[in-house]
Amino acid sequence: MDATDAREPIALPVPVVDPGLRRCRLQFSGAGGEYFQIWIVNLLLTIATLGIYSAWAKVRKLQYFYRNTQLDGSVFDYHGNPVAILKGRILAVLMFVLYKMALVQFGAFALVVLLGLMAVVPWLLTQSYRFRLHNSSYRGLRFGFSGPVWQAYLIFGLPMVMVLAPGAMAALGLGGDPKHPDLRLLIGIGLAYVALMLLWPYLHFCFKRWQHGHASYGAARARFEAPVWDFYVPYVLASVMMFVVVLVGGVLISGFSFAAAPGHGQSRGVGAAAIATVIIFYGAMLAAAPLVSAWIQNAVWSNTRLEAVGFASDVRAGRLIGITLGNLAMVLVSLGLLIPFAVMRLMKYKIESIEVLDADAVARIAGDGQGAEVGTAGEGAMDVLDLDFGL
Amino acid sequence: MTSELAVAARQVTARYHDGLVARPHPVDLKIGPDGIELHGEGLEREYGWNGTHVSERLRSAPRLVHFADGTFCEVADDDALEAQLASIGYRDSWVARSQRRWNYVLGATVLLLAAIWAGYRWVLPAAADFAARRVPSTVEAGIGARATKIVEGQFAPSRLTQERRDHVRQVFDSIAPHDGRTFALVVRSGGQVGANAFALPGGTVFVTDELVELAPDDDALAGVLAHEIGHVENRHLMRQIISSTVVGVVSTLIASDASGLMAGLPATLANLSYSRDMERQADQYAVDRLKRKGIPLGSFASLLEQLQSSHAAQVTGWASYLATHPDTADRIAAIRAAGP
Repeated sequence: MDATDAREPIALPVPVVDPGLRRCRLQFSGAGGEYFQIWIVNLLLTIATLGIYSAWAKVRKLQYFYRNTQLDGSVFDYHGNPVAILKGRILAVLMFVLYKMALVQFGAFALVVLLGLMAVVPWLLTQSYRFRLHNSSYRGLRFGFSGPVWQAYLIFGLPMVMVLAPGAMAALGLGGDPKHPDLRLLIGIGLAYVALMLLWPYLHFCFKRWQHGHASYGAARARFEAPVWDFYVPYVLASVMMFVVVLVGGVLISGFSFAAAPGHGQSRGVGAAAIATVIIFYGAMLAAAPLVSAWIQNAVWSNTRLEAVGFASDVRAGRLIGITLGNLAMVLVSLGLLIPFAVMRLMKYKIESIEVLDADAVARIAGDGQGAEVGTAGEGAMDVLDLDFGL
Repeated sequence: MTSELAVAARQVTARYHDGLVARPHPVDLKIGPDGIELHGEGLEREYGWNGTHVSERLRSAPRLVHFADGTFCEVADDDALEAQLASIGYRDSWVARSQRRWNYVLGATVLLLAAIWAGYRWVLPAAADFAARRVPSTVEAGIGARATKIVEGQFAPSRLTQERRDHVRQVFDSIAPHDGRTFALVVRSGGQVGANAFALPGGTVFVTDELVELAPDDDALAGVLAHEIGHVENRHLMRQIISSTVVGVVSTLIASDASGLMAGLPATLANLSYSRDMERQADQYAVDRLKRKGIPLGSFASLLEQLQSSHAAQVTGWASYLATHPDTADRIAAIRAAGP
């Protein structure tokens, strides 16, 4: 029913936009059953070829996603070269093995590996995003990305230092004696993590500004004009809501359990209350991520412009939480076999929430007359390092 | 042939994109054995099959026909296009054809599950064992030295008398093999961990005061220590490090769609299921060692029984193994069956 609704021209109450403009919603026709077929054959061939086929599998998968994404009657297309992706994957596997070895080996070797990773990863991420966009097209015009690498170092540098710091400190022997931990060191680490948490929405903002602000389509350049508080508000609200839910839930549950189990049954009541509180805590954590993601997707797309073309996004947080939790249950119960259905459900909702405000202006955009051969090292590395950019 | 000509004469409508501007040109396609003709308003083109690429069939997405000059056609009427392509003998790749057929997909699912299971059960342990035995001993010793330093800090010093500790060390030295590897024993107070013993790579064996006190005699203690030495000799920890790395890479590749969600799970499973085989291997090593030294096996078996019952409520280390694995009774029976 949603699908047929979405195919009709949609008339939403729009205060800002010129009513003469033809609005056009993205449509996604990918289906769980069909994607399951592609996914399972991809997996089997990947295993049968000891991972080599995974590069071709990725191209098949992305072409399925892109060709099923439609705007104003035309679909997107993906042109990535599997051999280039394979090179990236081999590089990433080598990096992963080196990283794992560094974690168990320590010493000067580990330090060199960790510093090397810090130096290389932001560059790789930039390359991979360039590769992805330059190999994406719509109506025969390629997308592009010109985000400067130095900004990637600023954006990814701090989180990476925080992730890799424990390993690096152990490598340097800075951890000290575990029995007598250095209090100043502990306080320093604690403060650094608090600073990272406070900075996180700002880093997310910088990342999206870097991603969207330096993208292009044909000869048209994208701009990104979101204010930074559009990123702080979702994170702060989600944290507050999580806190309130856990607090209220915890108090109610412990109240009930003490009332229900007086006398000798009390310890069992406390145990049940503790378990219920943990469940509520994890539930709130699981709900917080889609909540933030919904609000941020809306903020990002309503503040992105492709020259004269504006966008709108109307993801509803409640719906996204429902889909995410439903997907999680589906994937866990099926031991992973229903992953393709979960992926399609989420993609359909997120993609179809996006609207292009002036479809006729899109049709006037011209190509930039450039070919699309782009450095290859990054794509593929991104997947193994588990840093996909998502929508 | 007339039928072929009749089919070839049928036209397919498409939207042609010239790569210059994002506006589609409506065209009719005429598909023949030599190439494709495009007819549209003010647009007549002809492309040979050489350099032309037709994208795979998808159920609800348009078909894309890419030409050598970078331009392409988007064909919504896939059935008409497919009929024309079939008439000139064009077919999708075998991968694309198989993934459209449910019986093939079902077969692939079964094969995949079988391959994952077989890989888990046989290929990965064998490969990890092969690799673990080829890790240079200096690397293993380096890992062991760091791990020992970290683990030592987590336990309080032993509360046993110096005499008792020296005695445990004597038992350890008598049961440890002299094969060039330097084995070291560390006795510590177990604290919350309770009665426990474990080995680290390189040859350091930890034993807690509680276990020493629980052991009915030196024979039982020798059995437990030999079991731990068995873990070292078979390089079980190195194997676990290697296999968890491999599982990490593979599961990240497989589950890159459901990123993060499933990634940690297989690694945990791998560690759990390997430890069963590893415990049996270490038991076998201990039995062999005890027999060679002429030590009866009965005390070792009864110490395992005691550990099992004393740890029924606690869940850590040896205890968790004993408490969570129903085949502990089998292990004890196997040790008893191996000799008096």
